[in-house]
Amino acid sequence: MNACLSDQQILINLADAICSGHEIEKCCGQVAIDSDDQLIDELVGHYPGDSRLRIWENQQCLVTTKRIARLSDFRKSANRSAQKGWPVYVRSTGGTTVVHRPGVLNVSLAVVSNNSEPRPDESYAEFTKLLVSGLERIGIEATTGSVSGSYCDGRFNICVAGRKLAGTASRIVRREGKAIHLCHGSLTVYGCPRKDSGLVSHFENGLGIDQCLDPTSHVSLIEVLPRF
Amino acid sequence: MTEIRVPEGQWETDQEAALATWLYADGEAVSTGVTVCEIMVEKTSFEVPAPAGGVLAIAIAEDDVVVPGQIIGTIT
Repeated sequence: MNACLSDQQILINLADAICSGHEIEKCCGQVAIDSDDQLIDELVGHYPGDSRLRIWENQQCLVTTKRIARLSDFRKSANRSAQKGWPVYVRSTGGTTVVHRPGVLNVSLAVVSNNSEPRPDESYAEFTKLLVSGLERIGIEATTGSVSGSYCDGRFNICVAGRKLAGTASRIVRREGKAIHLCHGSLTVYGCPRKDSGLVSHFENGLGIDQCLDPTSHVSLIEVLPRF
Repeated sequence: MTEIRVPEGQWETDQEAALATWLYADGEAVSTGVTVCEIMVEKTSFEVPAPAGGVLAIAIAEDDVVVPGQIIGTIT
């Protein structure tokens, strides 16, 4: 039944499966990334368990971390990437460089924690459950785990058949005595994840980051979606 | 003098954590409760608040590995 669906319609269906009725924000660059901070701000003074969700799609860019942005060749490497049409922006969550572009669905969830000292595992558990359940609703069996050779690898990737479909990262802040955790995930729905891996590799190699990425460790939803 | 310590009990001791970013410079004045640095573990960024107001002395450099309970700086 999916053979008739356009790639963009599949992305919309996934967004709806993750959170029904939630509109996909079309965003641009740093403003898109900084909007996650607004989710945190909106929850200040709220009760444990209260949450805010964003589902969004960014224009094409690379998004890296504050730690990487401190490296001496960052500005030079970022300018080089921007000249090729891939401007580089900086986020507050952890990890390394990732790709945002049309076809990559971003999901951000901020929750006021029940625990005054929340653990990353607890924050990720709720978030990955949301993503895995959404994928399940459209017929995809997904798991969480690290994937050797993937960029921005971590224990809480969303994987399908051993390949990375989505990366996740998080941030834990304290506001007015309460902990708020923000989790963010980027799901590759369509487009070429091998090319994405090459972009990250090229950018990070320019910064002197020595790594061995395997482009085949990533997969897009389109590649694994059952078609009839 | 008040010590700034890495938070305890928020991750397993076998998980590697690193001091990601100091948000104030060595010798800079800070107020109680402001975020002085961020610690990274499991692709999670943790804010570390200043336990007191005063002048910050940084003891651990950015990117250094840290463990729960470790003193990373002081405020006098």
